[in-house]
Amino acid sequence: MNSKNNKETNNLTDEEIVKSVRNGNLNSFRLIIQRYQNKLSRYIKSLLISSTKEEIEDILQEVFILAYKNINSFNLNLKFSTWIYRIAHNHTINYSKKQKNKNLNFNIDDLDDMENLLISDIDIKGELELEHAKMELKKALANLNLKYRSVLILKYFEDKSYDEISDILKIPRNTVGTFINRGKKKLLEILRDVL
Amino acid sequence: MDISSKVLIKIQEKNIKPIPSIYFKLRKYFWFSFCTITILLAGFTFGHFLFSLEISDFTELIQNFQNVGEILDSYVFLFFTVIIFFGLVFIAYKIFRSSDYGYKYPFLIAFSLVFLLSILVGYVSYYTDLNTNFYINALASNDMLQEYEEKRLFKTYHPYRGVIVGIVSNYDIKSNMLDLNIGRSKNFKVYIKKDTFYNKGYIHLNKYLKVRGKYLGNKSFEATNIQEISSRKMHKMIDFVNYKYR
Repeated sequence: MNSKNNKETNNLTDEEIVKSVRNGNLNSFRLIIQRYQNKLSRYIKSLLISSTKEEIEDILQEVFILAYKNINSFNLNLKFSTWIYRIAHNHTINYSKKQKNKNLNFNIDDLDDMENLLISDIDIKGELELEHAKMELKKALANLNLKYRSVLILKYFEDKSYDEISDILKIPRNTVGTFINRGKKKLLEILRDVL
Repeated sequence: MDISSKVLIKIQEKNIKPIPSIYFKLRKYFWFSFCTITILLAGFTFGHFLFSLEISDFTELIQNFQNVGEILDSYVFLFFTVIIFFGLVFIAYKIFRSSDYGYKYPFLIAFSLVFLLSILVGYVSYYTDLNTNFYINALASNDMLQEYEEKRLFKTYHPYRGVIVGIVSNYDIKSNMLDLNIGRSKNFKVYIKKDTFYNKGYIHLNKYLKVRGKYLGNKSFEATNIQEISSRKMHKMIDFVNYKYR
């Protein structure tokens, strides 16, 4: 019986869950958290140039609380994932601004999937040994400007479309393409300087 | 304990409730109204700026280059309209950009409105014969013009119409610019040099002035031997004679 219920709830779309939360069903919100906690945690981790697991968990909790508070502002005609990513993005950026004085280090160990994608995309295999390239790419990403990094992460790590990135970051679709190209160029420049 | 449990416990402990949807609706309406008003205002400012440029006599500015500082005062208002226009457009852009409405379509609408308003201002002023007054009144509302005592009655000669009697409704002490109303037509601007107020001056005709069914175009007429004809209470009559094209 329980497993049947679980199956049914798993089949619910995000928007259906949001409707349920709006009707006062707090437990439905648990489903949202479970669906997005890993994705958002990974995104915050890669974006924040952050640090300890505790900090990321705190931010993540705040993001979900914010989402819950503002659940009525979500437009059901739009994509929920985009909306929650935007909250996570904005909250993370605000947090990083507050923590500016802190000596933060980029967490480079969580970018394995992305680096493969990026390396194949910027086609530097011919120039570099793959493993070496991966290491340098991690460092280069850490040094990349936030606006380029966030776009590259969303594109290659979170597998978001141009339109979704445009909605999350509130930048025009064409600018997304420009940022991706510039980001890749800058990455190449950094890599060429290093190697 | 997983994150979902922690979040739900926090929500329950702090008794956090979703913000009512009416708040978001009101906020949305407020910003939309604000942006619309901002854009309309920007459109009007821009229209006014274009029109001000149209009726401004920049030849005066060039000819009197020596007194450029003094003359520039009368153009300060123009610069303000430009600043206000760009400021308002920037505000609207920032608001739309950070909102859920996007900014492409609102901006398309905004610029269309600006364009239409500019045409409307030009059209209305062209056909209602209020060109000069539009500008003068706008300046007056900004305390840049001071009405000179009471209304003054002027009599002058005109190359096409002979003797013209007009009323000066506004007189700018700084630029010595008079707004001469002649009948229903309010298309005369009279410039009189400061030091020779009663002896020399010239009439500038707005290009929209129609005389005998023809537009005269932008023309200035020099007027010399300006004499005071009578002086009864507040009104004075001055005769402009020996005019010639400048």
